[in-house]
Parts: sequence; structure tokens; C-alpha cells
Amino acid sequence: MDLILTSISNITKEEMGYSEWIDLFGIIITALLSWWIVNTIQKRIDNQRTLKDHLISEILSIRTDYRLMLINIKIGESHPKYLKIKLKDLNIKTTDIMKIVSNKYRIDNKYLNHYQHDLNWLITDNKEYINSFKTDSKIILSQESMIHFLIFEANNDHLFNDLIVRINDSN
Amino acid sequence: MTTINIAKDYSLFTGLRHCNISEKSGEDFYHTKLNTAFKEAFEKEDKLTIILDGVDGFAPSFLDEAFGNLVYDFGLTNVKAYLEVASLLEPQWIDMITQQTYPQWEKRREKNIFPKKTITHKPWFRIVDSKIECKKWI
Repeated sequence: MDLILTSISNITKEEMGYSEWIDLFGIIITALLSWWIVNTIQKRIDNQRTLKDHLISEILSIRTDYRLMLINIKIGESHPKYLKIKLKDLNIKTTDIMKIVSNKYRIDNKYLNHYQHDLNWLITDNKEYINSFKTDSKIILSQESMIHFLIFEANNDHLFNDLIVRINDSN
Repeated sequence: MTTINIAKDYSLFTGLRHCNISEKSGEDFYHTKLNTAFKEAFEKEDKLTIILDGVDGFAPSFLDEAFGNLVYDFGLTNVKAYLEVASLLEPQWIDMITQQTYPQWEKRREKNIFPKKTITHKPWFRIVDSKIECKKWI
């Protein structure tokens, strides 16, 4: 802006014709317009980035909760009734965040449904889970169950990273 | 329209599939609440709505057993016509019930593969040759 004002001051010291005034007017309008566009668009880009960062951090937090839940099951530190409540809590959080992700970035809001569905069945239909349910005692997985849990994690862990990449790449 | 809110009308805490492995199981919910409520809705040609939200969470086997038995006793066409399952918080259960439980139990009904009963229940309703009958079927 200083450069423009200095130029105007220099120009007006000399005699200016009609066309020069039009040119000058054009330069000022263009400069103002550029300033407005840069500010507005930059603000919009910043807002979009902030929202993306927020949603990504929420998804990371959900992934961490799932991971911690699975670790606790594997080390025998989980009780069946608490797990049922925790699964519900994560179902709700995931549904909620996926609604926003779907609205903003046109990503299928059921993207994590299979993960949730399969994990809910894996945990609550597990033999050791069922045996511990009545007394709400700690679940101690058998070797066979442990393998099922490890396979589930190996097959599905990429889903959250894929989702984050898709959000990041979305316009 | 009749509504059953599981949390208010049945229990805040739901169990697993069968009565012999947990209290407030899907089998128990079906025999103490859902079977009779659906029979009444069917007779009145009224819609029965089951509200899932509000309980401490569901084991999917609870829902599968409860709504699967309904399909087994009344047929998929009638269940689709007179039953609505509602959940704002966990809509994935509705998908599971309609896309997985319904067709699997309808096949079971067609093949006469009886549902497992783990305790003795009072007589319950079933449609046989388009008529409602009430007895101990198993």
C-alpha cells in the first residue's frame, strides 16, 4: 500500500492526462481488490485447515481409545460390563464425527461401520467375554482368542490412517 | 403407534444373547416384552416402535436374538410392515438388524431351524398359516 501511495504522490506532482487518471484508478482498484481477495481467501483456507486439524485430532483420539481398549483386553485388564459401555461411547463418538466428516468432505459416513460392527461382535461374542459376563470378572483371553484379536487389529488398523489421508486431501 | 423404550420399559442394563449366560438377555426381552407387544400391534395393524437409545450399550447378540426371534415367529414381511427400530445415537444397530438379522432369521424360518431356548418360557405368539397361535413351541 505504501508503494502505491508513493507512486500516486509522485504522479500527481506532474501533469496527468485523462488516460493516466484512468490507469491510476485501475491500479488502485486492482490493488484493493487483490488485498481483499488475499485476505478473504487466506482466512477461508486457514479456517478449513483449522477444521481439518480438529477433525483429524478427534479421529486420532478415537483410534487411541480403541487401541487402549484392545490393549487392556489383551493384557487381561478389562471387565465385560465396562467394555459394553466403552463400546457404546466409542460408537457414539464415531457416529458423531463421521456425520461432520461426511457433510464437509463427502466421505461416506458409514466408512467405519464395518470396523465398529466387527469389533463389537468380536468382543461381545468372545467365549471368555461371555464366561466373565455374569460375574463381571476380568476377561482372560485364550491363545486362540488372542490370535483373533491380533488378526483383527492387523487387518483394520490402516482404516484410521486412510480416513485421515482422505480428509487431508479433500477440498 | 405403540412404543417400547428398552431403557425405560425393560432395563437400563442389557445382557447377552441367551438367558443362561446373562440376565436381561435378548431371549428374555423377546419373551417378556417384544413378542406380546408385536402381536398386539399386528392385530391392531399398528406400528410398534422400539427405541434403543438410553441403555448402557448393546451386545449385538442381544439385538440379533430379540429381533431374530420376532422374524422367526411372525415372518419378515410382517416385521417390516409393523415394526420400526429407532436409534439416534447408534444408527449402526438399525443397519445390522435390517441388513443382517432380518434376512438370516428369515432363512432360518424357511428352513425350520428352531431358535435355541435356554430356559422354559410362558406360551408365546407365532403366526401359522396366517393365524396367530399361542403355545409353548419348543
